[in-house]
This record gives sequence, structure tokens and C-alpha cells, in this order.
Amino acid sequence: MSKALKIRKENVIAFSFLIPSLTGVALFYIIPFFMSLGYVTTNSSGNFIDIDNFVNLFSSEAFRLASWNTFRFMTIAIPLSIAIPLFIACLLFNLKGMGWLKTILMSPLVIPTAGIAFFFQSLFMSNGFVSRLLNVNTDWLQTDHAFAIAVGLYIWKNLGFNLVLALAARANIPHEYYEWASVEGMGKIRMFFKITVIYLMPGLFIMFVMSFINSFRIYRELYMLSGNYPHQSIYMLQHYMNNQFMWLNRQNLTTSAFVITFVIAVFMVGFFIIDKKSEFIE
Amino acid sequence: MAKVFNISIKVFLIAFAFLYIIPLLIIFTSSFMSMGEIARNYGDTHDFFDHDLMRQISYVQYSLIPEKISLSQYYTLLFRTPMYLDYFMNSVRLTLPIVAMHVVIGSLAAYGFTVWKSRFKEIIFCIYIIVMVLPFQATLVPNFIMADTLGILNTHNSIILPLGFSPFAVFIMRQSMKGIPPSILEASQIDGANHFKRFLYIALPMSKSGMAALVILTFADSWAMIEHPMVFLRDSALEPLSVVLYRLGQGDIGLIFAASVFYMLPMIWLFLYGQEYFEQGVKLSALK
Repeated sequence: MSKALKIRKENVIAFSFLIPSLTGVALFYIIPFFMSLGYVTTNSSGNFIDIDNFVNLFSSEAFRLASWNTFRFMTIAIPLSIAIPLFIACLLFNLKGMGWLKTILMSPLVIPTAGIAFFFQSLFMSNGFVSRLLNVNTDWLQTDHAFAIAVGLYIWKNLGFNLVLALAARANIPHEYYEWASVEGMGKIRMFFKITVIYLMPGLFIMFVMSFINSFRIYRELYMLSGNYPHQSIYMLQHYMNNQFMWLNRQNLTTSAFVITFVIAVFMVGFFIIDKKSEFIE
Repeated sequence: MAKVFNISIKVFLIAFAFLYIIPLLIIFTSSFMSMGEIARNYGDTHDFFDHDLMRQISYVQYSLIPEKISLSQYYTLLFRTPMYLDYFMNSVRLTLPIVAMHVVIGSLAAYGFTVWKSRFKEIIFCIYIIVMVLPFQATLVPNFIMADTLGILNTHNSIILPLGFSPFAVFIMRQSMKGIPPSILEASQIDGANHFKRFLYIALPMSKSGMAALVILTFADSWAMIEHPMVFLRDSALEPLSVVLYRLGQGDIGLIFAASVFYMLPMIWLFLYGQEYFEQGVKLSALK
């Protein structure tokens, strides 16, 4: 057997390791996604209606509110849930004997969602702990503070996991870099921006991906805290789509799923290209 | 000066950690309170999650120490309402197959992505990442259509199969296999080891900690599933404990603490047992 042929055969075997996963992903995600596209261009009786579903969707106030809230939530909560653990990681990094802190900060991952909802409810409901402290009778989840509570809940829940990632990323920076910098007379603050921030970048990728996934999952808690119709500042796309599902409005549901998939795909492809380019430069 | 700084940071972090652990402590200690005491602390409400009902003005009171240690919640949970054992078993029946599928399919595919040479590789992986980050509500219709086509709606399989094939496992395992120096794989190739041997004796052992991270993460995530059972299961006898706890919060909150402890036991065990591996694995995945 010629060498080229052997290499090709090896490569085919290498590909075969992907087959179980490819089959499953195609069967349960990709193929039914294209099957669902039938709903996007038809009305409920199955007639072709061009782009009317998109027109309907974008003119729906609920959809626009939900998109705006989701966007606002992600742009505020994700950077915070990356920055705060990074800050704690930098504080924690030079301290000895603080390993137990990570374990404690991961405790929200263990608590059942219903327990978390229960706890936040008891803090923020009209006769809850916060109302008691302030001696008022406000249902905080029905005020404009609901958004801040949601962001806080998200950061609180994911802090421990992101901290483990941040500590790992921080540990990857060789301490020689700091020694060289201090020989050259660089100050602590400049060191932080010139070394720590720049060399943390590779670790940021996975922190970002995980925070992105988890920002959608916060819906579980929000749903338990305030049901299908929460305060309008925390009415997310997930609420909107879940309600469409409940009403059996497949047209709206699939069209919005298509829009979300499209936006995320464009965003992720862009992110992927930037990531590959930065790898290339390195 | 630096020492004072370090100590003040430590004090701050310890205070912070204490605040953090309070919810867990409350759940744990409240599980040993009598149902009457819980009713007094949290208001005698049978509709804690019901938002439309008027609430009485007596404020919520947290207490960490039970007036009298009582096992009545556990007694009711285990002996008076045996269906909770079934719900617990439903959680096990849903979670274990998903975790097993993630480990097997994920590590096979991650090895494939590591050694396969093709210009389509990164395109396929990019599609995987897109599918991975989509919210459940966006994949709900595709998942539903396929479950309907296969006739598995209202069975555990309608949840296990889509979640078990989730690209998340491939992503985590690939991140951890990136840490294997290519020279090791090449060296064994020269020694005549085929792909299967290299997978079994090099790639798998060297990504053990990544696998531990994967097991803990997917276990935690599947154990806490809410949306999937609510959409795919009509029959409430099939529901896992995570969903039942939510319903419990709507009804009898006297039981919610003991049931939560019951729910948390496997996760706490897994976290404590696997934490070392977990952290190593997460470290490797952050190396990229």
C-alpha cells in the first residue's frame, strides 16, 4: 500500500470517530431544524405566505420587548459575570489556604432551582426580607428593580464556576513576566493592564462561552420567580417563545427560533473567525 | 503593609463566603424544623409561588437554628409520601443515560476532531458551537418534531436523546484533548498504534480530568432540568425531582427543605468527590 493511500485510510478512520456524534446532532438538531423551516414561510393552514411571519414577528411589541430585554441582560450581565470573578481571582491568587472559598462559591450549582427561587422570593416578595429591612411592603420583583435582581441572581449563581476558570487562566501567566516587568520598573497598576489583562485573553474564550450559555439558562429561575408574565423589564425571549409554545402558535415560535439561531450563528461565526485569527498571530 | 492588605482581603473574602453559603445553610437547617415552625417563619402560605394571591403582612423570618430538632419532614417525605422516591428515581433514570452518552459520544467525537485532517473540520465544529449555545426554546421545535416523528413523546427518551447528543460534551472534551501534546500521539503512531489504541491508551487517560469536569457539569445540568420535562412529558408520574420540587413550592412548602436536601445529596457527593479532578479539568479547558 502506498504511503499516501495509507494516510488517507488513517484519515477516514479518524473521521469515523465523529460518526456517532454527527448522526445524533444531525438527527435531533440539524435535520428537524430544516423541517421546522416549513412553518416559517407558511400560515397556520399551510399556505405559502412569503415573509409575512417575519413582518408579524417584528411588528409584535412583545417580541421587540423580549429581544431588547434579552440583549440588555446579556450585554450587562455577561461582562460583569466575567469581570467580577477575574477580580476575585486576582485578589485570591497570591493568598494561601483559600481553596475552600471556591467550593463555597460553587454551592449555588448544587441548590435546586426551586430552592434558589424560594430563597430569592423570600428576599424580595412584599413581606420578604428586603421589605422588612426597609420597613416597606413592596414586591420588588414587580418593580423596575426586577432587572437588577435578575442580573444579581445570574452573577451569584455562576460566580463560583467562573472563578475556577478565572483562577486557571490566571495561573497560566508565567510569573517571570511580572519579575521582568518589575525589573524594568513597571508599577503594579500598569502591570495589571499590560500583563494580566492581555495574557488572560485565552482563558476568556471559554468563560465567555459558558457565560453565554448560562445567560439563557437563567430563565429557569426567572420563570419560577415570576411565572409566564414577569415584570416587563425581565420579560425575556425565552418567556416569549415559551408562551408561543403554550398557545400552540408554531408560526411565531419557529420564526423567532429561526431569527435567534440566525443572530447567534452570525455572532458566533464572527467570534470564531476573530479567535482563529488571533491564534494565527500568536 | 502588604500583610495588612492581605489580611483585610482575607477578612473580606471570608465575610463574602459566609453570605454565599447562607441559602445552603438555611435549606439544610430548615429541613430539621417542624412544619409548624416553617409556616411561622415563612408565613402560613400554601401558595408561596402564587403571585396573584394577597399576602399577609407578617414578614419573612430567617432562622438558622431549629427550635426543636424534628425529623417530621424526612418522615413525611420517605414514609408518608413514597412517590418522592419514584421522582428521585426518575431523576436518576434521566440523568445517568445523558451523562453516559456525553462521556462516550463526546470523547469519541473530541478525538475525531483532534486527529481528523480536513478543511471541513472547523466548519463542522463551528456549527456544533452554534447548536451548543442556542437556548432551549430555540431547539424546542426541532427536538419536538423529531420526538414526534420517532413516536417517543411523553417518554424519558424524548429528553435523553436530544440532550445526550448535545455538542456541549464534544466541546468540553475537545478543549481538554487540546492539552495533549501532538508529539505524543505522533510517537505512538510510529510505534504502530492504530487510532483505536491511541484513543483508548493515550487520549482517554490524558483527558481524564476534562472528563470529570464534563461529568460534574452535565450531571448538575441534567439533574436540574426544568424545561424539558415540562414540554416533553405529559404524564406527571414520569417527572424528575427538579420539576416536582417546583410544584412542591407551589403547594406544601413544609416539605420543600427536606426534599431539597434529598435532591442535593448526589450533587454534593459528586462535587466533593470529584472536585480535584473537576478543577484540573477546568484548568485544562481554559488553556485552550
